[in-house]
Amino acid sequence: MIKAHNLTYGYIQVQPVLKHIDLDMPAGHVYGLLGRNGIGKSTMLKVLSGALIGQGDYTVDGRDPRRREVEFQQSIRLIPENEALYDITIQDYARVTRPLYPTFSDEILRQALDELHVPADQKLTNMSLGQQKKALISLSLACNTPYILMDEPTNGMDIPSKSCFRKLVANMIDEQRTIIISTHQVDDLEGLIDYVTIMENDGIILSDSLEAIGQKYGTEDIKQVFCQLVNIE
Amino acid sequence: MNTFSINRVGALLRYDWTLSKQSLKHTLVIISGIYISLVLLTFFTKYEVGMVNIDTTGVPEAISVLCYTFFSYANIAAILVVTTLLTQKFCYSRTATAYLTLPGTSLEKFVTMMIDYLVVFLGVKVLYVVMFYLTMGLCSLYAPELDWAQNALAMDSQIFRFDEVHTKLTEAFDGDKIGDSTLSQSFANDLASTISTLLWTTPFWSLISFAYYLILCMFFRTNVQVKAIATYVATNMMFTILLIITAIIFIANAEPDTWTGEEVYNFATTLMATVRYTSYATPLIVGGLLYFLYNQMCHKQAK
Repeated sequence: MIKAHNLTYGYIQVQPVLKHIDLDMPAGHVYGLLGRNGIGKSTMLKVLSGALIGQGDYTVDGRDPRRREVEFQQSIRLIPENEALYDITIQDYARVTRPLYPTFSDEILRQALDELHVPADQKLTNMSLGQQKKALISLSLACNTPYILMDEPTNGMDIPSKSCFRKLVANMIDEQRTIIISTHQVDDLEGLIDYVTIMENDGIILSDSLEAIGQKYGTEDIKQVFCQLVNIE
Repeated sequence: MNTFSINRVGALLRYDWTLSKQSLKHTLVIISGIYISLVLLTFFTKYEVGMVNIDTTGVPEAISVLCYTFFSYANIAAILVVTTLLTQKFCYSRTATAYLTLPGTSLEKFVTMMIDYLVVFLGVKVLYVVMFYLTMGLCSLYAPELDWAQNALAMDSQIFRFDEVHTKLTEAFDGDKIGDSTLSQSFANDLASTISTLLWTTPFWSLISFAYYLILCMFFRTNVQVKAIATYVATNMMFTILLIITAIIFIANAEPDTWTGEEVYNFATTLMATVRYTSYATPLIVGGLLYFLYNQMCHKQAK
């Protein structure tokens, strides 16, 4: 479970990107983190993963990310929008990542690479942008951590790959796992997420299950609700 | 409970070296390229000119001095580049974000970083020595009639600041001095001493100095290279100026009229030694202070 109270973070202290965020995310769901560009979605994921140090009270599974404890780091995997690229194959990358994550699954890696049609023996730097993205997502999913945070994972993917990605993530859902997917491409998450969190300048303006949103707004069309809440025609 | 694990340090090292293999290769190729270019430029220009215009007996010494100067600067530049690259890798940018979230305690990551740094640092130093001897070898092949080994060794003594080793060697060889014709007999011993001192004394002092630079790199978030190098040079200059002012005040109050020439000479020598060692030690103290402040800032932010 992810809990935050009065969470604030700013790259420059006088100009916080995240302002007094209150958040309550029960475990075992797939969350869509939506918001306009530059609203702080990526920053939020980095703060929750412990890469950035925020202010206020916030915990992931009862642990304070700021303490950067090994057990915490082994339970969470952040997939940034732009990852550093290395001149190695995904097989070699997996070989050095595996010892760091006790839950690492070669079976998940093989399955993900197969479904996303990524060659395991090709160097990352020789792949197209979409292939690189899919390879790195496969590796992160193979870490098999209870918390997976993805930042714009479908950027650069073609339509068939997006479909495969949705299927792959859906296969990983269980009661112990929490997946947060940050995106501004709402359509890519259709049928995948069961909770929606929308960020605006004032903080979190909506965080609820699709079912509750349907009852409240009379529709489960996330795009429509999103446009309505952030005043987009 | 965060306990230190050697296995995790090993895993982090394997992770680092596997991922950074390519960029490290590129860096080494660039550094070697700089060395070789400088050597060739120096050698061919000066030697050819020297053959026409100056007494050839002075050529080896002149080229040794030039090589020494170029190598020293290239060595410092290489270490600054490597330090900056490693610091950026660990502290900033996308790689740093990924690295921070990797499983491992801060101490384990710090140890990994220091091992990485030490390996690369020693690698650059060894490359420096190899290149120097290669240059002298090249010189010997090009102009075998001149005594290159003698001058190379004489310069070598200065490069690594072997004053003490030099003295002991001189004693051991019954008063033979580096630069004398009989020195060739002690070449193997001298080379062995060079390497042993290189692996201990020189890296030790240099490490202290560059540890300070490393801390400066960690302190700045943007334009790391420019800011860190500028601060590094500025603080070193500041301490030297401070020492000179202190010395002037001291001399002014010490009634120098009563001093003999030898006393003045001894005083100047001691002062220079103080400047030399303080320029290593004092920045370290200031570096420690800055690092303490930096940690305080992080701690305050983490509350």
